[in-house]
Amino acid sequence: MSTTDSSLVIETLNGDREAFGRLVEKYERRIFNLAFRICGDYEDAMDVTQTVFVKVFDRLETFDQSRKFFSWLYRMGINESLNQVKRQSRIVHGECDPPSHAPGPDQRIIREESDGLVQAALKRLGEDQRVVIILRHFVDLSYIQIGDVLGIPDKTVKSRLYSARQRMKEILTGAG
Amino acid sequence: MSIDEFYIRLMNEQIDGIISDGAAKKLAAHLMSDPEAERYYEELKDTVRAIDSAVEIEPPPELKTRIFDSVYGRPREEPAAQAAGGRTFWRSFAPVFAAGVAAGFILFAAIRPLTDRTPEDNGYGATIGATGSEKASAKAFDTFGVRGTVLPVFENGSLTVTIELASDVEASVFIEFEGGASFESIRSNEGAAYQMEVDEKSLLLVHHGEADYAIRFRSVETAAVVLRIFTDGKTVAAMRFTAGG
Repeated sequence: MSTTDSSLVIETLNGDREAFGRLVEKYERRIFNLAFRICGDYEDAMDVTQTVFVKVFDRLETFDQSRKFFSWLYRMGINESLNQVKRQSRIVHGECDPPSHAPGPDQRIIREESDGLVQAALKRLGEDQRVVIILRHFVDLSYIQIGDVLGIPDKTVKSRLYSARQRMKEILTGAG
Repeated sequence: MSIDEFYIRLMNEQIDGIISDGAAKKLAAHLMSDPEAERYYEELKDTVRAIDSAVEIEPPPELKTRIFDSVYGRPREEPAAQAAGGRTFWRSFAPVFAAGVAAGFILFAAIRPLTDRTPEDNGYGATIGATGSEKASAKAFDTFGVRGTVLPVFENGSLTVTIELASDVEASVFIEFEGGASFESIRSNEGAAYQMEVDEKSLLLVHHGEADYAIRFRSVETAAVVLRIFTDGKTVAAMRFTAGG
């Protein structure tokens, strides 16, 4: 059974539903967390994740297979999340909405104060800085991978990340 | 704040674990001599710890069902330039059409000289035996200003792919491995300028200048390695090797 993204993409294009299911399983959690950290809202993160995978499926034939699949996917996740933030301006100006689902253990944890402070600080960053912090610290991408997703040199990734961390530090220490 | 940007960069590199030994010593000496820089560094580490302590959120279990319902429970989005009728025809006959194209392509490739081939059809596959030492024939490529050869060798449970890149053009080598394969090591000639990223299933090497690389994969039973070389978004070569089994 093949496991690489390239193989799964090809099998999905050939009509294999199981292959598409495996792509969803592999990336659903990461796209959901990326969306949650950008949007700051559980329901919006669900909508964004769903929309991203529908678009992936619809546009898979146009995907350049010389590129990394995850870069294409994350790029789509970022764009869709930022669009959702623009659509839901209440999220930009308001507080994080708590999940409306019955809280499970993980959902209870996200209400903890430290997490709330980090999320609030993230929302005060500009888009570019917020995205680079999320890709580095919440999606665990390397500098090169972030550069690949955003289409910028890794040198720019570093300078953007370091500025973002400095801004986060100022906000979290009350200096910003 | 009067901390030199140079030291702020080193602090971040230290936090990310990518600092060189020399730079780490330089940073440590600076922190010893500058209390303000030391305080800044401690706050920066606390900030990164706080960010990293934020938990991963579990998506709801019904999300996958919602995605599948959206994808398979409705007609697929039509590309703007394609008529609906044409699309239906294509979806119905795609497997037959694809098989025909593949068969035609194989015939065409077999009767055409290698030098006439475009980068899209220079695919090269090799199957190497499970015991002893065996190597496939070297494959040469020379496209879009990127020249070189690839040679796969299977020996004592390891698959080694030797890549010679003789070109000043920046090229990327992207390798995906499956089966029982895992990345073991990379060797290059002295002075080779490259950057590499490796995870469990893939390796990306960005190459600058002339260099030889020997990339070694450990194979438990069988290993399948898909290798693509590209430059500026264009495919230079695409190859697949199967070892063992």
